[in-house]
Amino acid sequence: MITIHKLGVEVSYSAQELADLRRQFEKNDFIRLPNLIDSALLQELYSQIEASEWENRAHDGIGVEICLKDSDLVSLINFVFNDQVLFRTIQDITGCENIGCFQGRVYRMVPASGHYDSWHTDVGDDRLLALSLNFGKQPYKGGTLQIQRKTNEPLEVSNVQFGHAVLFRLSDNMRHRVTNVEGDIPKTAFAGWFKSSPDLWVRLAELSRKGREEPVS
Amino acid sequence: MKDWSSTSRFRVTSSTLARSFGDNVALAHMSTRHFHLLNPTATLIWNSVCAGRTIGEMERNIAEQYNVDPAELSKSVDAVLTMLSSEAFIEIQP
Repeated sequence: MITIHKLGVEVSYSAQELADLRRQFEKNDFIRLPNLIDSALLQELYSQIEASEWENRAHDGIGVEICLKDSDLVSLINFVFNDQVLFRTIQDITGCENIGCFQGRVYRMVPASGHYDSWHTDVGDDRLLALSLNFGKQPYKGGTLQIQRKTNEPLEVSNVQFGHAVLFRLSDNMRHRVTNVEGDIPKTAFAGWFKSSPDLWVRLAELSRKGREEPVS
Repeated sequence: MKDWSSTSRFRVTSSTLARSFGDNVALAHMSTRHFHLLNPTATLIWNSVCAGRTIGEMERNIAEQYNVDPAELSKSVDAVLTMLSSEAFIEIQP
Protein backbone atom coordinates (compact mmCIF):
# COMPACT_ATOMS: atom_id res chain seq x y z
CA MET A 1 0.00 0.00 0.00
CA ILE A 2 0.95 3.61 -0.52
CA THR A 3 -0.61 5.82 2.15
CA ILE A 4 -0.50 9.60 2.08
CA HIS A 5 -0.43 10.94 5.64
CA LYS A 6 -0.43 14.46 7.00
CA LEU A 7 3.29 14.36 7.77
CA GLY A 8 4.52 12.23 4.88
CA VAL A 9 3.96 9.18 2.73
CA GLU A 10 4.28 5.57 3.86
CA VAL A 11 4.96 2.72 1.45
CA SER A 12 4.23 -0.74 2.83
CA TYR A 13 4.44 -2.80 -0.36
CA SER A 14 6.79 -5.75 -0.24
CA ALA A 15 9.41 -6.14 -2.97
CA GLN A 16 7.20 -8.82 -4.54
CA GLU A 17 4.13 -6.58 -4.49
CA LEU A 18 6.09 -3.76 -6.12
CA ALA A 19 7.29 -6.17 -8.81
CA ASP A 20 3.67 -7.24 -9.41
CA LEU A 21 2.60 -3.60 -9.72
CA ARG A 22 5.40 -2.98 -12.24
CA ARG A 23 4.19 -5.93 -14.32
CA GLN A 24 0.56 -4.75 -14.09
CA PHE A 25 1.48 -1.25 -15.20
CA GLU A 26 3.63 -2.51 -18.04
CA LYS A 27 0.85 -4.79 -19.26
CA ASN A 28 -2.27 -2.68 -18.68
CA ASP A 29 -0.93 0.91 -18.71
CA PHE A 30 -2.66 1.55 -15.38
CA ILE A 31 -2.69 0.39 -11.77
CA ARG A 32 -5.08 0.88 -8.90
CA LEU A 33 -3.92 2.53 -5.68
CA PRO A 34 -6.53 1.68 -3.04
CA ASN A 35 -6.98 3.88 0.03
CA LEU A 36 -4.28 6.23 -1.18
CA ILE A 37 -4.96 8.84 1.52
CA ASP A 38 -5.22 7.90 5.19
CA SER A 39 -8.78 7.95 6.44
CA ALA A 40 -8.51 10.93 8.81
CA LEU A 41 -6.89 13.17 6.19
CA LEU A 42 -9.29 11.95 3.50
CA GLN A 43 -12.31 12.75 5.69
CA GLU A 44 -10.99 16.26 6.51
CA LEU A 45 -10.35 17.05 2.86
CA TYR A 46 -13.75 15.61 1.90
CA SER A 47 -15.51 17.82 4.47
CA GLN A 48 -13.73 20.90 3.14
CA ILE A 49 -14.57 19.97 -0.47
CA GLU A 50 -18.24 19.43 0.36
CA ALA A 51 -18.40 22.86 2.02
CA SER A 52 -16.90 24.60 -1.01
CA GLU A 53 -18.33 26.27 -4.08
CA TRP A 54 -17.88 25.14 -7.67
CA GLU A 55 -17.46 26.93 -10.95
CA ASN A 56 -17.98 25.88 -14.55
CA ARG A 57 -14.90 24.96 -16.51
CA ALA A 58 -14.67 24.14 -20.19
CA HIS A 59 -11.57 22.41 -21.50
CA ASP A 60 -11.23 23.64 -25.04
CA GLY A 61 -12.60 21.01 -27.39
CA ILE A 62 -12.32 18.28 -24.76
CA GLY A 63 -15.02 18.60 -22.14
CA VAL A 64 -17.11 20.52 -19.65
CA GLU A 65 -17.18 20.03 -15.86
CA ILE A 66 -17.37 22.03 -12.67
CA CYS A 67 -14.22 22.60 -10.64
CA LEU A 68 -13.59 23.51 -7.03
CA LYS A 69 -13.57 27.30 -6.79
CA ASP A 70 -11.52 27.48 -3.57
CA SER A 71 -7.97 27.75 -4.92
CA ASP A 72 -6.47 27.60 -1.40
CA LEU A 73 -8.13 24.24 -0.81
CA VAL A 74 -6.91 22.98 -4.19
CA SER A 75 -3.41 24.12 -3.20
CA LEU A 76 -3.75 22.23 0.08
CA ILE A 77 -4.71 19.01 -1.72
CA ASN A 78 -1.89 19.50 -4.21
CA PHE A 79 0.46 20.01 -1.26
CA VAL A 80 -0.20 16.53 0.15
CA PHE A 81 0.47 14.93 -3.24
CA ASN A 82 3.82 16.69 -3.68
CA ASP A 83 5.97 14.25 -1.76
CA GLN A 84 9.37 12.85 -2.66
CA VAL A 85 8.63 9.37 -1.25
CA LEU A 86 5.47 9.20 -3.36
CA PHE A 87 7.40 10.37 -6.42
CA ARG A 88 10.20 7.78 -5.95
CA THR A 89 7.67 4.98 -5.50
CA ILE A 90 5.67 5.97 -8.59
CA GLN A 91 8.92 6.19 -10.59
CA ASP A 92 9.89 2.74 -9.34
CA ILE A 93 6.54 1.22 -10.36
CA THR A 94 6.15 2.92 -13.72
CA GLY A 95 9.74 3.37 -14.84
CA CYS A 96 9.02 6.97 -15.77
CA GLU A 97 11.68 9.68 -15.72
CA ASN A 98 12.26 11.83 -12.64
CA ILE A 99 9.02 13.27 -11.31
CA GLY A 100 9.34 16.94 -10.42
CA CYS A 101 5.88 17.66 -9.08
CA PHE A 102 2.20 16.80 -9.05
CA GLN A 103 -0.43 19.22 -10.30
CA GLY A 104 -4.13 18.51 -10.04
CA ARG A 105 -7.65 19.90 -9.80
CA VAL A 106 -10.84 18.78 -8.09
CA TYR A 107 -13.62 18.32 -10.62
CA ARG A 108 -17.21 17.17 -10.55
CA MET A 109 -19.33 15.73 -13.34
CA VAL A 110 -23.02 16.13 -12.57
CA PRO A 111 -25.47 13.87 -14.41
CA ALA A 112 -27.75 15.55 -16.98
CA SER A 113 -25.89 18.87 -16.68
CA GLY A 114 -24.06 18.88 -19.99
CA HIS A 115 -20.85 17.68 -18.37
CA TYR A 116 -18.79 15.45 -20.64
CA ASP A 117 -15.26 14.41 -21.56
CA SER A 118 -13.80 13.49 -24.96
CA TRP A 119 -10.85 11.41 -26.08
CA HIS A 120 -7.57 13.20 -25.38
CA THR A 121 -3.95 12.34 -24.60
CA ASP A 122 -2.94 14.97 -21.99
CA VAL A 123 0.55 14.75 -23.49
CA GLY A 124 2.63 17.94 -23.22
CA ASP A 125 3.45 20.48 -20.54
CA ASP A 126 6.00 18.03 -19.01
CA ARG A 127 3.27 15.55 -18.03
CA LEU A 128 4.45 12.01 -17.37
CA LEU A 129 1.55 10.14 -15.77
CA ALA A 130 -2.04 10.83 -14.77
CA LEU A 131 -3.77 10.06 -11.50
CA SER A 132 -7.42 10.26 -10.52
CA LEU A 133 -8.63 9.85 -6.94
CA ASN A 134 -12.32 9.41 -6.17
CA PHE A 135 -13.54 11.99 -3.64
CA GLY A 136 -17.18 10.86 -3.63
CA LYS A 137 -18.65 8.74 -0.85
CA GLN A 138 -21.65 7.50 -2.83
CA PRO A 139 -20.96 5.23 -5.80
CA TYR A 140 -21.87 6.94 -9.06
CA LYS A 141 -22.98 5.34 -12.32
CA GLY A 142 -21.00 5.85 -15.53
CA GLY A 143 -18.05 8.22 -15.18
CA THR A 144 -15.80 5.35 -16.20
CA LEU A 145 -12.24 6.03 -17.27
CA GLN A 146 -11.56 4.56 -20.70
CA ILE A 147 -7.98 4.12 -21.86
CA GLN A 148 -7.20 3.24 -25.44
CA ARG A 149 -3.81 2.31 -26.87
CA LYS A 150 -3.69 2.97 -30.64
CA THR A 151 -6.69 1.20 -32.17
CA ASN A 152 -7.05 -1.45 -29.47
CA GLU A 153 -10.34 -1.97 -27.71
CA PRO A 154 -10.55 0.63 -24.89
CA LEU A 155 -9.92 -0.58 -21.34
CA GLU A 156 -12.71 0.33 -18.94
CA VAL A 157 -11.50 1.39 -15.48
CA SER A 158 -14.22 2.16 -12.97
CA ASN A 159 -13.17 3.70 -9.67
CA VAL A 160 -16.14 4.33 -7.40
CA GLN A 161 -14.60 3.59 -4.00
CA PHE A 162 -14.05 6.61 -1.77
CA GLY A 163 -10.33 7.43 -1.56
CA HIS A 164 -9.22 4.92 -4.19
CA ALA A 165 -7.04 6.11 -7.07
CA VAL A 166 -6.09 5.04 -10.56
CA LEU A 167 -2.65 5.82 -11.98
CA PHE A 168 -2.28 5.59 -15.75
CA ARG A 169 0.25 6.14 -18.48
CA LEU A 170 0.31 9.15 -20.80
CA SER A 171 1.67 8.67 -24.28
CA ASP A 172 1.22 9.90 -27.83
CA ASN A 173 -0.03 6.38 -28.61
CA MET A 174 -2.70 6.44 -25.93
CA ARG A 175 -5.82 8.43 -25.34
CA HIS A 176 -8.36 8.45 -22.56
CA ARG A 177 -11.70 9.91 -21.59
CA VAL A 178 -14.30 9.70 -18.83
CA THR A 179 -17.75 8.52 -19.89
CA ASN A 180 -20.85 10.51 -19.00
CA VAL A 181 -22.10 10.18 -15.44
CA GLU A 182 -25.62 8.77 -15.20
CA GLY A 183 -28.25 8.45 -12.51
CA ASP A 184 -28.45 10.90 -9.61
CA ILE A 185 -25.00 10.82 -8.01
CA PRO A 186 -22.26 13.14 -9.35
CA LYS A 187 -18.67 12.03 -9.77
CA THR A 188 -16.15 14.03 -7.73
CA ALA A 189 -12.45 13.40 -8.26
CA PHE A 190 -9.03 14.91 -7.72
CA ALA A 191 -7.22 14.43 -10.99
CA GLY A 192 -3.92 15.60 -12.31
CA TRP A 193 -0.49 14.77 -13.55
CA PHE A 194 2.90 13.81 -12.29
CA LYS A 195 5.19 16.16 -14.21
CA SER A 196 8.91 16.29 -14.89
CA SER A 197 9.04 19.99 -14.01
CA PRO A 198 8.92 22.26 -12.13
CA ASP A 199 10.71 20.46 -9.33
CA LEU A 200 9.11 19.86 -5.98
CA TRP A 201 10.60 22.79 -4.11
CA VAL A 202 9.59 25.23 -6.84
CA ARG A 203 6.11 23.72 -6.83
CA LEU A 204 5.85 23.98 -3.04
CA ALA A 205 6.93 27.60 -3.28
CA GLU A 206 4.21 28.17 -5.89
CA LEU A 207 1.70 26.63 -3.52
CA SER A 208 2.78 28.95 -0.75
CA ARG A 209 0.83 32.10 -0.37
CA LYS A 210 2.29 35.27 -1.78
CA GLY A 211 4.17 37.01 0.99
CA ARG A 212 4.59 33.79 2.95
CA GLU A 213 7.07 32.05 0.74
CA GLU A 214 10.14 33.71 2.22
CA PRO A 215 12.00 31.27 4.46
CA VAL A 216 11.62 32.04 8.15
CA SER A 217 14.69 33.35 9.87
CA MET B 1 5.61 36.73 25.46
CA LYS B 2 6.84 33.16 25.26
CA ASP B 3 5.30 30.70 27.67
CA TRP B 4 7.88 27.93 27.58
CA SER B 5 11.11 26.99 29.32
CA SER B 6 14.09 24.79 28.50
CA THR B 7 12.17 21.74 29.74
CA SER B 8 9.13 22.45 27.57
CA ARG B 9 8.33 20.03 24.79
CA PHE B 10 6.27 20.85 21.69
CA ARG B 11 4.21 18.58 19.45
CA VAL B 12 2.86 18.92 15.93
CA THR B 13 -0.82 19.91 15.81
CA SER B 14 -3.38 17.70 14.08
CA SER B 15 -4.05 20.40 11.46
CA THR B 16 -0.47 20.47 10.21
CA LEU B 17 0.69 19.01 6.91
CA ALA B 18 4.42 18.60 6.30
CA ARG B 19 6.45 17.60 3.27
CA SER B 20 10.21 17.05 3.08
CA PHE B 21 12.35 17.65 0.05
CA GLY B 22 15.99 16.79 0.56
CA ASP B 23 16.99 18.74 3.66
CA ASN B 24 14.07 21.14 3.32
CA VAL B 25 10.64 21.07 4.91
CA ALA B 26 7.42 22.74 3.80
CA LEU B 27 4.42 23.15 6.11
CA ALA B 28 0.75 23.81 5.45
CA HIS B 29 -2.09 24.34 7.88
CA MET B 30 -5.42 22.72 7.02
CA SER B 31 -7.57 25.42 8.61
CA THR B 32 -5.69 28.65 7.95
CA ARG B 33 -4.35 27.36 4.58
CA HIS B 34 -1.07 29.08 5.39
CA PHE B 35 2.04 27.61 3.79
CA HIS B 36 5.64 27.98 4.96
CA LEU B 37 8.93 26.90 3.49
CA LEU B 38 11.41 26.40 6.31
CA ASN B 39 14.99 27.52 6.01
CA PRO B 40 17.79 25.16 7.19
CA THR B 41 17.77 26.49 10.77
CA ALA B 42 14.00 26.24 11.04
CA THR B 43 14.14 22.75 9.53
CA LEU B 44 16.61 21.64 12.24
CA ILE B 45 14.27 22.95 14.92
CA TRP B 46 11.22 21.40 13.24
CA ASN B 47 12.97 18.02 13.14
CA SER B 48 13.84 18.39 16.84
CA VAL B 49 10.19 19.08 17.65
CA CYS B 50 9.18 15.99 15.67
CA ALA B 51 11.80 13.96 17.53
CA GLY B 52 10.14 14.97 20.81
CA ARG B 53 13.08 16.90 22.22
CA THR B 54 12.70 19.50 24.93
CA ILE B 55 13.88 23.00 24.05
CA GLY B 56 17.01 22.45 26.13
CA GLU B 57 17.70 19.16 24.37
CA MET B 58 17.21 20.67 20.93
CA GLU B 59 19.56 23.57 21.71
CA ARG B 60 22.23 21.17 22.99
CA ASN B 61 21.75 18.83 20.05
CA ILE B 62 22.05 21.62 17.47
CA ALA B 63 25.01 23.22 19.30
CA GLU B 64 26.83 19.87 19.25
CA GLN B 65 26.33 19.47 15.51
CA TYR B 66 27.10 23.04 14.50
CA ASN B 67 29.59 25.50 15.87
CA VAL B 68 27.13 28.21 16.85
CA ASP B 69 27.06 30.81 19.57
CA PRO B 70 24.68 29.52 22.29
CA ALA B 71 23.04 32.91 22.80
CA GLU B 72 22.42 33.36 19.07
CA LEU B 73 21.15 29.79 18.83
CA SER B 74 18.74 30.36 21.70
CA LYS B 75 17.39 33.46 19.95
CA SER B 76 16.93 31.54 16.71
CA VAL B 77 15.18 28.67 18.47
CA ASP B 78 12.83 31.10 20.22
CA ALA B 79 12.07 32.92 16.96
CA VAL B 80 11.30 29.73 15.07
CA LEU B 81 9.21 28.23 17.87
CA THR B 82 7.30 31.50 18.16
CA MET B 83 6.52 31.46 14.46
CA LEU B 84 5.59 27.76 14.40
CA SER B 85 3.33 28.06 17.44
CA SER B 86 1.71 31.33 16.35
CA GLU B 87 0.85 29.68 13.04
CA ALA B 88 -0.54 26.68 15.00
CA PHE B 89 1.84 24.21 13.39
CA ILE B 90 3.02 23.17 16.87
CA GLU B 91 1.71 23.39 20.42
CA ILE B 92 3.24 22.91 23.86
CA GLN B 93 2.75 19.42 25.19
CA PRO B 94 0.76 19.62 28.41
